Amino acid sequence: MTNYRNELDAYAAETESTPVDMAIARARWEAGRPDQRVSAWMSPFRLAFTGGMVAAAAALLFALLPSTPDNQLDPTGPVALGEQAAPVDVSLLEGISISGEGQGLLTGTAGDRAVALDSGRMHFEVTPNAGLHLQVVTDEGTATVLGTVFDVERDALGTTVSVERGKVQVDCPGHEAVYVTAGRAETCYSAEGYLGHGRALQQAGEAPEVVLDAIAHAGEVSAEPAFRAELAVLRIESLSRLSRHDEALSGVEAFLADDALVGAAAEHRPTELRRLAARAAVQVGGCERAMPWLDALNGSDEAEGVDLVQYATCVGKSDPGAARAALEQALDTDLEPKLEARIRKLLGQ
Amino acid sequence: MSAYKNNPELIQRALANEPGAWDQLLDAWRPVILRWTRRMAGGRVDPHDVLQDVSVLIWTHLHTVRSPERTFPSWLYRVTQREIMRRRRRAWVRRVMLMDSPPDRSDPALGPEQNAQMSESARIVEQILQKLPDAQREVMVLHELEGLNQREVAEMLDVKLGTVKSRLRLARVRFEREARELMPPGDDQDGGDRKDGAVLTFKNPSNNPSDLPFVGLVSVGGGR
Repeated sequence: MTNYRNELDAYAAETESTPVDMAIARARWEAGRPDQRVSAWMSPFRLAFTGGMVAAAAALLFALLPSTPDNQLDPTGPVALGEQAAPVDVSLLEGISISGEGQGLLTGTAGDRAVALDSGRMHFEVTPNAGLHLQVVTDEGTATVLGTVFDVERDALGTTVSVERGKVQVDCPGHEAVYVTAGRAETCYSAEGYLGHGRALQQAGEAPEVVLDAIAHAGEVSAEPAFRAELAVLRIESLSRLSRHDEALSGVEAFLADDALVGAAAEHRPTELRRLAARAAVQVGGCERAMPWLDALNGSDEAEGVDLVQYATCVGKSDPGAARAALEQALDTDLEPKLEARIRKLLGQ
Repeated sequence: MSAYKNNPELIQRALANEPGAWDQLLDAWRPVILRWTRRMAGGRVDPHDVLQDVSVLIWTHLHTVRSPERTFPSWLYRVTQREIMRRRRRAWVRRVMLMDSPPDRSDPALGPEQNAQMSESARIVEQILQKLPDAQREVMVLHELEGLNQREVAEMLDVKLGTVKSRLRLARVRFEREARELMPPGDDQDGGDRKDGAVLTFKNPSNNPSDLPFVGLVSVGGGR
């Protein structure tokens, strides 16, 4: 297959899974995972324990229901919503109803409630003009109710507030508060959401300014190191495309100094960033500034033809032997035919 | 199965329902399942649909796998392959019985931008792979694209090593024959030059010397 190795490699690279794929896959999994898992560990003890818990919950509910009219609740302590993946259907005495599928925690007292939504989609109805205050809080943002009917959905990509009636104030970290009116929706992105959005814009050919703008506030939401790493790479790539070389260089230096980021990043990322830094450094401070980066690349197994040629260009005057060796090595890599011919001529081949 | 990082401890933790273990297990294998699906099925099924169904099967049936810490990759491969076949059969029945429109050849999960960005040579490779019989295609994908050695392919597919070798030989012959037709020498694609009928492509788009700030190569005539 040597004749077609390049094509197969190109095909393999183009069918590789991307971070955007993973963000989509996680979001779909969170939205569609089965409620119950068939499990081998359901020992008789666990079954008895679970049965006991269900019976206790039923007894508690039975005791609670007659105390409030029309099956409405008036809790003064925290209430877990959607435990055991059960559908949520809660009606509060003061005029708030919560339904849907998801997990969260209801806190506060009558007229001043908060729901911390962990996952899933919940539907809220708040009686208008009754002085009721309800906040729905997630890691990505806060929705404050102004007498309305609305949905809040939390998945891997972030938190989306969709308003059916009335008005909801949505606060996403780093952004100004917006009022979402009936028929409209607003999303506060998670780190995965920012990354997916940024990469999608980049792949769609949007200008790097647009990509940078899209991920500008990603640092204000909590993120696992793998996502922080990919977001940092996307930012550095965009800065480099904008010829903001100083900022790109600082970004690479900060990235490589952060062990957590390097450890969580894909294996090829540090080399890619060193290559990008070498290119930026030449622009900013010429060969002198680029040499540490070029040395690091040249000393690794990852050096590509362009790295070797750049290295040779920089050391040509001071160390012609090293430059010659680098160019000879470069001829064993994929090079543009014109450049290859030029190098061969230079080497007298 | 050295090409895939099987983590027996993680599987045991997932089976014991330790917090976060399921998510870690699925995170580790999602890229592999998506890759398998894209390469085995081309654009004929939505890889994210397959991934979702396979994830559910892992979730519900991992405990039924014997010695999962050892056999998980091959079990997962079989499950993925069955799911691809099931979806392809369903699409075929729908097309034939309901006179539905033929499926879009592009990968729906990639999105229009990414599909548009797929290089011409990659598109041709996909086309040729889809022309191979299933048995030949899977050895090609596992050996040539996934990087498994022939013994690992045999283990994965639960067939003899000799069977893998003969399927691979037939697959290569057929691939090269199709490739010669679809990529005739002299047909310059992707801006690359050809040598002996092959397209020379750059692995990394940034590997383009014109991107670099060359101001002219210095003389290196001194030698060592």
